[in-house]
Amino acid sequence: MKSSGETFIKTAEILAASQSPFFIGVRHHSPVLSAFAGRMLDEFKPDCVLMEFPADLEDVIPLISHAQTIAPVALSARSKEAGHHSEVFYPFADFSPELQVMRWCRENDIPLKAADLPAGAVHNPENETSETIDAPNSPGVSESLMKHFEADDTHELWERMIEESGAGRTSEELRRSALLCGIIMRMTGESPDSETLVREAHMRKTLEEAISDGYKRIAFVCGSYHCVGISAQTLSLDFPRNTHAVSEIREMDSCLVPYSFSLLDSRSGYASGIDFPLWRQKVWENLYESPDGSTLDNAALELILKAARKMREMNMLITFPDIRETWRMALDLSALRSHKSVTIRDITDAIEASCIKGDARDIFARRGIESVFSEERQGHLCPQAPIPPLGKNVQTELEALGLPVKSATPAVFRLSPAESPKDLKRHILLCRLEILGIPYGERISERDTNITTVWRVAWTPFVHSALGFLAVYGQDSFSAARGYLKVMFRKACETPDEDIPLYAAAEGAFPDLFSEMATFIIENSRFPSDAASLQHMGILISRIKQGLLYQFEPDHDVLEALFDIIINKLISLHEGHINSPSIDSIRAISATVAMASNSMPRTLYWFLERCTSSPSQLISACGWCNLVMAGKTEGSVAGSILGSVFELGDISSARDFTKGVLASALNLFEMDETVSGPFHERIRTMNDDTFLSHLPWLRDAFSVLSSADRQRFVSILGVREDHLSGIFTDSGDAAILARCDKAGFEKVKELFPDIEFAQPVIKTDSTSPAVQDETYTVTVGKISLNARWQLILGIMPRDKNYAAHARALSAVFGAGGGGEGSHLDFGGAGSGDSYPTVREWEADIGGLFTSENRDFLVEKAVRENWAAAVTDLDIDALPPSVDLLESIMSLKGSLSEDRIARLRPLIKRIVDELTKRLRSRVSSALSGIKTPFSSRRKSGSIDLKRTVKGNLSKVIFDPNPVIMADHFYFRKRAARRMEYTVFLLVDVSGSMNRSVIFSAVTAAIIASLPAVEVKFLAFNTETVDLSGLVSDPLSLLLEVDIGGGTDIFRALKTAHSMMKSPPRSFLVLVSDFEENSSDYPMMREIAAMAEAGVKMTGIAALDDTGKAVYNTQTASKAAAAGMAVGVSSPLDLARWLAGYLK
Amino acid sequence: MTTKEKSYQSLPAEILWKEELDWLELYDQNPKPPGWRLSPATVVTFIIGTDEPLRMPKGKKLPSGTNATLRVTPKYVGNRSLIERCTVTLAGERGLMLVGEPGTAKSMLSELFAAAISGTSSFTIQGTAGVPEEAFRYGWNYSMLLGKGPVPEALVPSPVLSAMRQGAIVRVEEITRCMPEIQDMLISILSERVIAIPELEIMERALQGFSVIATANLRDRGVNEMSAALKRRFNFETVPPIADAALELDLVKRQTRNLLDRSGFDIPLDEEITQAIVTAFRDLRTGLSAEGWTVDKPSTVMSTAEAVSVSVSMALEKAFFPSKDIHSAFPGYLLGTVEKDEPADRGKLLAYWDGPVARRGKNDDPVWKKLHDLKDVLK
Repeated sequence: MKSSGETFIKTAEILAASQSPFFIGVRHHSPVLSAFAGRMLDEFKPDCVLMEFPADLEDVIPLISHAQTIAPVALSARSKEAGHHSEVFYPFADFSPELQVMRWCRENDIPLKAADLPAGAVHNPENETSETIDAPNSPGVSESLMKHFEADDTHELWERMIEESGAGRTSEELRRSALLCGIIMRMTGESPDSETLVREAHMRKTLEEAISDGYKRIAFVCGSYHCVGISAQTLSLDFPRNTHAVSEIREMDSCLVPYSFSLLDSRSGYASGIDFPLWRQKVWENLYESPDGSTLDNAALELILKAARKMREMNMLITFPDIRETWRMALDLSALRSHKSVTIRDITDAIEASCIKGDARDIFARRGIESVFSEERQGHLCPQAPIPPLGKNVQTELEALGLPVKSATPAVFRLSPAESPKDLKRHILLCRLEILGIPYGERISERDTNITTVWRVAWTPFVHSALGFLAVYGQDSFSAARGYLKVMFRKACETPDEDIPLYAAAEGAFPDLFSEMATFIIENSRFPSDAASLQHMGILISRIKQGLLYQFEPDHDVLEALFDIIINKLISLHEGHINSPSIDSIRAISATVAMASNSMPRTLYWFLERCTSSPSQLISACGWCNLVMAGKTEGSVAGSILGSVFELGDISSARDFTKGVLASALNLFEMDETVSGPFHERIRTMNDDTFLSHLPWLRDAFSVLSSADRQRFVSILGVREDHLSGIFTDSGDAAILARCDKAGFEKVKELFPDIEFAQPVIKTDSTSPAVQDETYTVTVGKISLNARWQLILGIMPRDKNYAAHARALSAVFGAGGGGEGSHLDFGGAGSGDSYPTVREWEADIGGLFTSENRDFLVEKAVRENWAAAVTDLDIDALPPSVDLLESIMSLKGSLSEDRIARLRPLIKRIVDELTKRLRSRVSSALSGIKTPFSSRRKSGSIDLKRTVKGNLSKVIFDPNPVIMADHFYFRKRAARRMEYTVFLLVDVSGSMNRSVIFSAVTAAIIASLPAVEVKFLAFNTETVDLSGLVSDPLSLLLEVDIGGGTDIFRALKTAHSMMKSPPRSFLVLVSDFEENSSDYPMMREIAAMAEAGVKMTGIAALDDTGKAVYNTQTASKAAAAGMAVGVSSPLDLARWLAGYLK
Repeated sequence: MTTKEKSYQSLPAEILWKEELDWLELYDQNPKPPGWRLSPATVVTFIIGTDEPLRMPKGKKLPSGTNATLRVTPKYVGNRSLIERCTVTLAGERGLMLVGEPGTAKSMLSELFAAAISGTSSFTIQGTAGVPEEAFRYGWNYSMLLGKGPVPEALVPSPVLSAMRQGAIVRVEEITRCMPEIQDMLISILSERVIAIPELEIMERALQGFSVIATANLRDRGVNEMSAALKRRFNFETVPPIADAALELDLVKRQTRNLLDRSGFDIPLDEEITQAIVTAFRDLRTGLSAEGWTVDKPSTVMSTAEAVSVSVSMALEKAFFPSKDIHSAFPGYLLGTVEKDEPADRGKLLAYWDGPVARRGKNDDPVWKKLHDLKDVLK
């Protein structure tokens, strides 16, 4: 047998010529064939039509073809036996040839027989016999055929051969092409599987029965792939056959449901789905009416208009010339590609070329366009069709699991899915109903609890009607929830703001959907941009990985990949915190480390390593502790660093480091001797004065412990160093107790000479500085170790000598388990003794502590928002610094006008000094700015070119040409013409104090330039225009109110609306980029302004420290949208401006 | 090519491919848009190339020395649809804007289109911040101007004006680097197709066949800077980096071979190293290794052109310093390519070494194993 292209053609000829039966080979959704099927049947005039349709579902055909049934509809059948998941699903749209054939038969009153294997047939592969001759597979021919048609697979082959060349051909030509296509598909793929062979055998049998029933003109409508297997004449061509009869046929429950385009779309996951259903529909409509395809051009234009409207909704600029150009391109492309009529590919290519202009919004534009082509359209059933059974089936399912289906009174169910399989099934069912939005069960317990979940359920009439509406998605809870979830997924794919329903997929137990969503998230980078949501997602995944989510097992590789990316994103978010001075950053980092604890990636190690060398001691400590806990560093290394904090000259560094250790790894500090040993050792062995000089910051550091932590710490200290177990008893008695203990021990040894006793450790109270190895000394100086720890932990020491210290410190740090931010009321309530006035307190600490510590404490007091501290203390004596100004600014809201007036001189001093410092640096960068235009005013250098140009009319010849210029043009130095506007948007939500101060001063300096106008906008959730105060930074700073949330989008919009000439505008955004809500509107605004020509820069911290805490995700998105983001000093900002102005 | 032409470093497309273009002009039976040298379908064929040789239609009289068949060399490796769309765009009333990452052959494509459609690619404006308006409209020969007054001979036409006079395509490279006011001169040229010269009191109108191809980089000073009015007069096409690994490898080998041949020495090309270079570039560019492992992408562009450059440098180094192990140079070159702006990129390269390179070494791939051992070079 020749295996070549000739075989294909010859076989096609045989099939096409066949009259008994007359073959109409189709693809299940083919607009072209649907349009021509009726014509083909009109020409052949059959007396009977056979169709590839399950024989046991023949009764449903009249309902499908009913005049009042509006497509798309779907036929779904399930076997009646419970527990069997053999399910068949047949969607029908107007562009399904089978539907058109059904309608034709009804209209022309021709009998229609279903010829395919019954849906309930049980197929047993072992029992069959078949002539197993391999199909004549000729890969060489098929490859060149595919290449000729430019098709990558059989789907595209059909598209090229039939769909794209349908217009203007006769129905007979198309029929032949379809048959040829089917043969190619058959012979180029793998051999047909046994199920296909059994089905074809059944179809052959039905054909023979029809012939013997006396029908003379039989038309057979089936997938063109099958034609070869059904025709008797191709039997000799060595195609495999199967002659085995089917053993068992189950009874099927069938139902017809209305369907929709979105579910029909191949991207919704339906395997035989079709892409762009709306276009297919249009092709069918147009070809049905005018088979020459002349109206398809207009249909294309309609679609382009729809897409244009959608793009305008997304704020893209699409005008009439764009639409005209798109249409022209679509038609020209189809001509270039030799298509008979314009195809969907031409249209999408044209839209992409003409309308999408290299935007940041490209992805969304494409998604939006795709959504136009699969616009939602729903089908309707005829009144005779039975009601879909979703409601009934769900009721049955609930009953089977013992959940209430009758009463509307709520009942509470406490489920343990991990332990009981029945509870697991209940939980999953309830989750699925929740996904569908059916108000049956309400979850009461916390979402992330593993062990039990608590639900409140009630069967109300609402539940019943809700189930009725959702029938289109499926017949039972599984398929309905799944279908609905798929639609939700599709919608979320197209809308950039919406979350992908990953949790729903996990809870509803759809591992394949989960994997699909996870893959989508990875490929399209649809991760949330803030750390908290990312961590939430990461926790979900680590729970799944650990098997804590009820035997839920999605694709392992995808899960790992997703987890890795989340960890990496968290790390890059944390990058923005690497210089952070705040405890929250430590908490965030520790949460991520905990999440990754099972399998820490290298990048996380490096990040932690980078943390250790961060200038912020808090972060450095966090890095060390986490590295020790991960086993990457020896505890002793961290321990020695911790022990050496006492040598650090800077109080705040020492405090920060210790605080960092306590905040990130308290239990490490408590339990691990190597880590805490050196620290404890120093505390024990340093002398009194040294101790007192370290005490304030030690107290500050340990104030980070909560009361519960404190208690635990104390008890652990007690366990560790036994002599401290008397920490709540009188100190100084420890020595006596030790002696008594020794005496008792001697006595017991006397009484029981045979028993071996462990040697007790003798503790003696010694005032000598010497330390003996085996014996602990209680103290080295006068202050006992007890007292030292009591002072550090804020417990009132028994030793009255140091009560004063404790009191003074408690005033600032709170008593006992207080901590940051506790306000003490002077002269009123308060625990124990309190100070009547601040001055007394100040006097006290002056006496008790060194001057350095005194300043430290006073500043702390100011930071703790002690209004009294600010007014009553002589803070003029404190060295003026921006730090102090920061504190005052945050305090400003609680001060009276009078107080503020009294502070003015101090503030003015600080501001003036800062201005002086900055001006000298910044001015040099901004000098010499010229305006681009030349003018007639006499100043500066001559613009020769312009002069010559302007005087060309005044040439005299004597005899050589000489220009007698009377108008001269000069390059102008910057005069009082406001050429440029600089918009300074300053984020005044908390933690930006320092930047606000520097921004105000810098704004004043820039405003003094002649060519530039400065607008100052302060924003948190509101935006305030303070441009009038730009020249007086002092008043500006006093006007600003620190605090509140962050709404960057609104600030940007306000600034944009204030711009008179965007190409001559600069926008400087000083912010930490922690946008309160979704950052998508912000990015759109930035992109819009960038397109308008505004020059933008984002600054995370505008000060002299170079440290910033900011959301790197949002910042990098902003950078991609057109705003360069960085951390800079006022000098850098000036240089950036000057670069444009000069 | 004449010997003189051979001595030049680089030749324009219309001279390099003269033989093919002439042959295709004879072969072309399809209708041509006014002012075009070839029909759109033939333009596409010229750029994409053919597998099977084309045969001259029967009965066509051929000048001496011309073959009856020609196999057209593929010049652009990539998506056919892209070329089709570009061609159709140029046949319309809009300009063509090619955008993409650096090193994706945008300039090469614009040259090929100009050569195929107009027969010349010499009407070109190189966009820089210093481009004055004379580059887009016209300038003056000032001495003649002062001597003879405003006469047509004193006018110095810009490439745009010359292209309009000839009905050819003008190419503007890196248009976004020009000042926005200068770029916007193209707006009225593209809508009206006329340049007014008030000094001579004439309006110069463009002949049929005039169009504009502009290129822009997506990376620095991207298309965000273009005014909306200007954008609307262009159709945008994004030229993607080469998707197929085998095609890219082939391209790199070919181009490296070409450049090495020009050096005059007989320098061999190490296949394994070139493969490693291309693989590394692709991994770092896409963020995904061939085996499916994720790679942390550095912020630098890893373009094919740069891969060629690295490959050439390494081959030259091996030729001139034969005692050195060729592998040892690789990490250094790669680091030089990767670490351009961001210091964090070095960390990402280190991560790459610890990730995919280490894994490949563990799988006993000899080249990668050697490379992994050279990790210290990166520190």
